[in-house]
Amino acid sequence: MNKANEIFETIVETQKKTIDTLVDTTNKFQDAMKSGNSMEKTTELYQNWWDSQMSILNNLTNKTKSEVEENLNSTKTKTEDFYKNLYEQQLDSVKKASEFNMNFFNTISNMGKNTTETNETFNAVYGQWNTLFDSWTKSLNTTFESLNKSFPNNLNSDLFQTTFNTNTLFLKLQDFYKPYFTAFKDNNFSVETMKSMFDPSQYKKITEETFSSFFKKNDLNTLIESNAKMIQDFFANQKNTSKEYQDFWNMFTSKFPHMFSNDLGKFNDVFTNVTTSYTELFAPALKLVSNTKEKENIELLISTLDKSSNYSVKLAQIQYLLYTTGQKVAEEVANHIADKAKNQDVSTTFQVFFNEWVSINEKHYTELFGTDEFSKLKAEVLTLSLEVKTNIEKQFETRIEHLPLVVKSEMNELYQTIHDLKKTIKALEIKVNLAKAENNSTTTKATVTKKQTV
Amino acid sequence: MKLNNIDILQELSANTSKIVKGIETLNEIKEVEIAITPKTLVFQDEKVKLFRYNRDSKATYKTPVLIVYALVNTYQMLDLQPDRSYIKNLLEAGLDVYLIDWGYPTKMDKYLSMDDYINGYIDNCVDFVRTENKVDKINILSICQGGTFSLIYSALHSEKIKNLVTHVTPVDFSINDGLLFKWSKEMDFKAVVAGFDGIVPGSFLNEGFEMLKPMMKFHKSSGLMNSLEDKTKLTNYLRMEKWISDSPDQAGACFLQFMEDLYQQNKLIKGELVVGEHKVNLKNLNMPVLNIYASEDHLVPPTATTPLGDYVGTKDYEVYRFEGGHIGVFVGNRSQKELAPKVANWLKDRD
Repeated sequence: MNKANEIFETIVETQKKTIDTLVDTTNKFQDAMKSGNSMEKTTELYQNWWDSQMSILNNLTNKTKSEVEENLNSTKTKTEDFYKNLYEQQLDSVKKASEFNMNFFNTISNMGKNTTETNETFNAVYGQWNTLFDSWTKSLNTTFESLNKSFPNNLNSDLFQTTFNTNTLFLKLQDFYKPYFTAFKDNNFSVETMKSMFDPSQYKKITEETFSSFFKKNDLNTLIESNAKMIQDFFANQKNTSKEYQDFWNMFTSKFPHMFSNDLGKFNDVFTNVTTSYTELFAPALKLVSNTKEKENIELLISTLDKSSNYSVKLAQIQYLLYTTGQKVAEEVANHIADKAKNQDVSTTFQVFFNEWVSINEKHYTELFGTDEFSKLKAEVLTLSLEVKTNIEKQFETRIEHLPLVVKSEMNELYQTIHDLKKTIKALEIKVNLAKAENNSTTTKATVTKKQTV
Repeated sequence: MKLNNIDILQELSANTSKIVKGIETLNEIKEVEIAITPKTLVFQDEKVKLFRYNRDSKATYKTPVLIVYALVNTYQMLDLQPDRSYIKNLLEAGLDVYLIDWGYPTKMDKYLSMDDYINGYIDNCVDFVRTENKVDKINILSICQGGTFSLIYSALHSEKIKNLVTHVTPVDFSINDGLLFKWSKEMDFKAVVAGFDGIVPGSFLNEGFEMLKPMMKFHKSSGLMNSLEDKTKLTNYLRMEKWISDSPDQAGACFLQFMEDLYQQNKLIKGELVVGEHKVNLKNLNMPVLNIYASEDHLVPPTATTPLGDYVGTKDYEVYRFEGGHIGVFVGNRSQKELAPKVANWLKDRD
């Protein structure tokens, strides 16, 4: 693990140094512009920056190469792939950085002597470097994830994951608000400009990251499809009922042809246009079927279909509320930045901005969570998801009931019996102890009385 | 620093460095221990354990104290670390301290009811402490849901309780302050208990608690960034996380009655609550009661706690306001100097 730390430290320190030297060079360039020496200084400044960047990057590749090679020869197979991937990713990043530097050199050496042009070129450099740094950091983040498995216990691993997730959110927010900050720096600020920069699809991802429990992927679509197929098969089989019901089935078949076809896609088309519950839809047909285990199972499947569909609808409604609240947050954040710019409040950091963003989120989402609409929806979503779960478990029980296995419902009966027996025993023990105590007290009195008479 | 892209880039780059340092620090922390104040197991009733805390010197109080914690999470928060331990502070104040550890319910326990917990386990532990100390009555110190249980117990068995202290205890569930109270009114708890097959997972409760302050995790981890190199701060943080993540499952029968009868129908205050075969009347609380609440409690808002005084039978009733949150009452810096002395002095005057 120490080896991983050294490699990481080297990589991260490299990133830090490259950024620091870029910032330092920028400041020197701006100073040079102020003093009117920008033209003479440019080449010198660039040359110094180029030399220091290449020195830093060469140091990275040489150091990590020797350490990675050492580890690749080790017997710890778990770390082999990890280091190999890390090395290859970093090589790729270094290659891109070198290409970038070469392009920049060409740009600088070919550009005109105009100060404005030079300044604009430098600004473009930041943009390009930012993109490069982003992809470099993202590649590092993937390796951070795999490093999670190597902590001494789950608690430490969970903490690291939390910190890492927060850092990922930092990066996403920075990415999203980049145009805002650029406008801030260029004094090109207005709330309208801010609003026009708002990218809903990007912010949607931030909302999903923040409230991941409401956006978990589930296999309900698979469940709905498999349930629908079983129901379809059941009704298709029912066509061979006795003659007196044939008329009804013919009428039913003509009204709902898709239910009796072999085409599951068409079968599902029935549901997309149906606004009443599936239970009500199938009720007339089910009345004709005799009460068998199979019918019970089909009724359960239909109920599951109903609940799964309702669940999907309700969950989508909750997600919609979360997205629209996210939009309100983004608007308030934009106004907040605009106010800061207006008041020329420039002394802030991204950490401060992040804390303000968190507070604004807290305010809006706490308000949303306290509404009757959200409370009801949340309760409904929870109930439906648990009812689907219960139904699936019942279905599973009916499938295995012919096997020599004890099922949940039977175990529950046993647990109830054990609980009741324990309670009865305890009550009896108390009675016995009380009786013993009374008996002892009576015996003592009798002994005393006997002694007294003697 | 200006809020421009290049400076932000520097800041983010510095954050990445901090994370790397954090990896190193986290790998140095092999084990995180909490609740290390020495204690002895003196009684056990199935999974429920009764501990007596070890004392270096004789207790200066005649009446022993029994701590009744909630079923949610564990008592270990009361003894989080040596310099943040309510229990240690009580011991140093001279009290003889017992504690009920509820254990970890399994499927076998799904039918345990409020009656089992209150008239069963609590009563058995109270009787044990009374017998061991040869006293007719003991003191109860209770926390949160443990406080609600203790109020019910003390109302049904007032002859066994000398003094009662409740901390951050919900009594009036009719309020809509706080998301927990609001959300609970809409939920179908029968479906919840059935859906989890009679044992409600602790993780389900934890997720719910987390949603009460939706951005808390980002506040916490953002603040943590600056502590990633500090082994002591990180260890302290991990202690709290260890306690938070240790959330026992809940016996379905007890959970269902607690949520339906109390959170949804507010039967305790109304005098309609039946536990076992007995109706609970808070007017039977004829012993001195100290009711402590936290001013910034988002889990049990003050409006849920403070009405207790209107329903108890005792004239010796005191309510005490503590500045802070639900957990801060026990683990905050101020708490170490304030809470135990307050409780100890109150009990001394009534020993």
